[in-house]
Amino acid sequence: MATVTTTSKAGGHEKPVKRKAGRTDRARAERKLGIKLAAPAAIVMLAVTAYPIGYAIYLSMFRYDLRTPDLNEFVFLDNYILVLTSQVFGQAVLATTIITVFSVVIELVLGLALAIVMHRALSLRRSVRVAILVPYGIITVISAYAFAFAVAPDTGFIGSSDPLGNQVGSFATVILTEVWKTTPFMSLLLLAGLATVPEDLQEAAKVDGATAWQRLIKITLPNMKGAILVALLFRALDAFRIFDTVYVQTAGALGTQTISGLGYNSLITRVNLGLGSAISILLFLFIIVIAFVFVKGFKTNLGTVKGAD
Amino acid sequence: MRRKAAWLLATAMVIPLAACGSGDDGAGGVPTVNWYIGNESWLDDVIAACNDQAGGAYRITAESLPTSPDGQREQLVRRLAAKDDSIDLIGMDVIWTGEFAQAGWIEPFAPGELANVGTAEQVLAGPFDSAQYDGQQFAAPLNSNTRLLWYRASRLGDRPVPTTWDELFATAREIGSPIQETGIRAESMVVLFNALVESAGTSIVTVDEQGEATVALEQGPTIEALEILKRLGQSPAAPPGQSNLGEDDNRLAFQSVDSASSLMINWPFVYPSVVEADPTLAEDYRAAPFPAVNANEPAKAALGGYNLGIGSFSRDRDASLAAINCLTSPEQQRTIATIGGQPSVLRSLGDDPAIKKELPFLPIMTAQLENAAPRPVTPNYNDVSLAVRTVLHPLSDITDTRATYDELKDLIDKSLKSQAVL
Repeated sequence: MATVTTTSKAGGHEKPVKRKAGRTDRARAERKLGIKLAAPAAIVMLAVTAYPIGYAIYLSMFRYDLRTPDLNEFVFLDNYILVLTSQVFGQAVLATTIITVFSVVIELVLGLALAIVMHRALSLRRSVRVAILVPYGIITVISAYAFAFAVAPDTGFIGSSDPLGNQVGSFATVILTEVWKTTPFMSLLLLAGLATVPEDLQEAAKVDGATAWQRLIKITLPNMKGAILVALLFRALDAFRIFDTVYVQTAGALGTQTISGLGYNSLITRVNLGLGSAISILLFLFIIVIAFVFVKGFKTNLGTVKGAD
Repeated sequence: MRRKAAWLLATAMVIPLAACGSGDDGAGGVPTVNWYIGNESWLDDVIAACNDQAGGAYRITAESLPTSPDGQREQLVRRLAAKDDSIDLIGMDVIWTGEFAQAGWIEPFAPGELANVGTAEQVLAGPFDSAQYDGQQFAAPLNSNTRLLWYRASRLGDRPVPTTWDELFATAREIGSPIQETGIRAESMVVLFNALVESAGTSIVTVDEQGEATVALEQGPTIEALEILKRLGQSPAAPPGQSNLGEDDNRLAFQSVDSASSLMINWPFVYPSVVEADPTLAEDYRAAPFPAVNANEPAKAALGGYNLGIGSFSRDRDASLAAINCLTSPEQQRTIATIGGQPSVLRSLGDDPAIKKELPFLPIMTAQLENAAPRPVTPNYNDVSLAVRTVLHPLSDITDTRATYDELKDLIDKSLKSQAVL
């Protein structure tokens, strides 16, 4: 879509219609130039993303443990079978899913509320926005430590119980930290969506006697479907790769180990590159599935963020 | 003008690169020995003393590693896997020796190379065994450590000092004290489990003549050890917040005057710490041997400490070896023991008056180190350790020890084959 528009602009005033055949010499030359201009970026992208991913896929089919270099050999899909049949991996998928679902849903509700506040704030607009965005500017590791200290029985101010000493409390603490930290990001994306909802529709609904709730459900939300999709997708992909909060707060204890945590343990701590690569590739596949489900499920074209397509 | 500036800039950038490129210049041709080790209170003193003694033969510089042992290992493993030739001397936790040796990251010592710590006659049995792998000595034991039972004399009154876990649980109930023992999902959990398993009469791992490591864990003794862990997790002996307690949390809980904690299993660093914080309270501190599992068999307590290895990619092995021979000399061993509160590995210092003055519990520790429970020496030690932590944490969740046993054995078996997902 983008290339078509550019070509049409540069190539004079023709309309952006698809013209497979009968392309003029000039258009062809421009096309060539475009490819040449874009090539360096494409090559760099291939070098820094496609090559490592390809190498990880290659490694994942070997027994490749840096501690026992003599025993390295091709094992085809054995690593994947080991990972997928292990109880620890199942637990990690469950933990990651729990953290993702709870934090994203809570963030969506809170983020929407905050976006509306930012959108409708009459006075001190700038201060309100800054105040809401501050948590997002804080480094994850620091906020993770802050919450860990806040709930610790000795240094904490949240009662004398020990949330990180039991499973429910551990999950709740991790999710709370995630929500606190990334709700601003969610609300920022939703604010962009709110700005695209036509004001005249709202006015018309008001004149027809719609309540604030009805306007939210019937006018605002359907008109910002695209923005909600983008926000949910970004956050879900992000949340599913969660690593630092769990690493700092529980180090994977009490069933909170995430898929990224397992990958880290295998690759960095145990230098078992074969098994670790298999875990990373599986995480990559999970991410692709999530993205696919979102895009198909919402039946929205991501290219048109407005939603009213 | 501009060209001149560019030249200056280029030279300025190249000179420091060249300086760190070769390990042999340092200060006027003196070979530098880079020692990668965690920060220790005695480090500066022994380095200064050895550099003095070397008289220009070498110069040791410490390269600081992270504070946590897991963090230290991670950084070393990353560098060594990338064949980092700036690593000359490695301060290894005793448990890494097998892993580093098998991976080819440290070189074995030829007989006679190590002047002070090369034979079983010179070194206490526990530390000596931890430095051997595959029939060769891969490391020079630097210092040692073992965990003791600590108690408050005034709280115990005239009750006998517990010598077994049964007696320990009984005493804890009588005086209404928790047993301050670690419960966090960390290496300390393996330290405890290994000591219990060894005391009960079996091992986590056995190594056959071909050097093949297999899971041992005889059922009877292992279940005995697991029963003790279960009681630790569920009885009133469990301290508050047990699943997150590490060694230092226990030290603090035991050291606070108004806490009920009167019994603790911990490393000897707790003693210099209380002497500094509250000398009066220190007089109430007593130490006893690590409790036994069975009354008729003495316990095998945990073994800790540092081993020194020479990195396989080091550019100056001779200088590193000379540095090791200085660091392991009785003089430096005494410095490490008196400043750091960690006993020496040398038999000749087992009853040293200067060390005993700072560490009144030295004789108990020396006796324990002769009969210690080294953790398994296997290349996959780290996997075994993660497996133990995964299955046993939190202690309060151990209910059916038979089921825990099966799970543990299966996961350790996979770990030894590099096949466990952890």
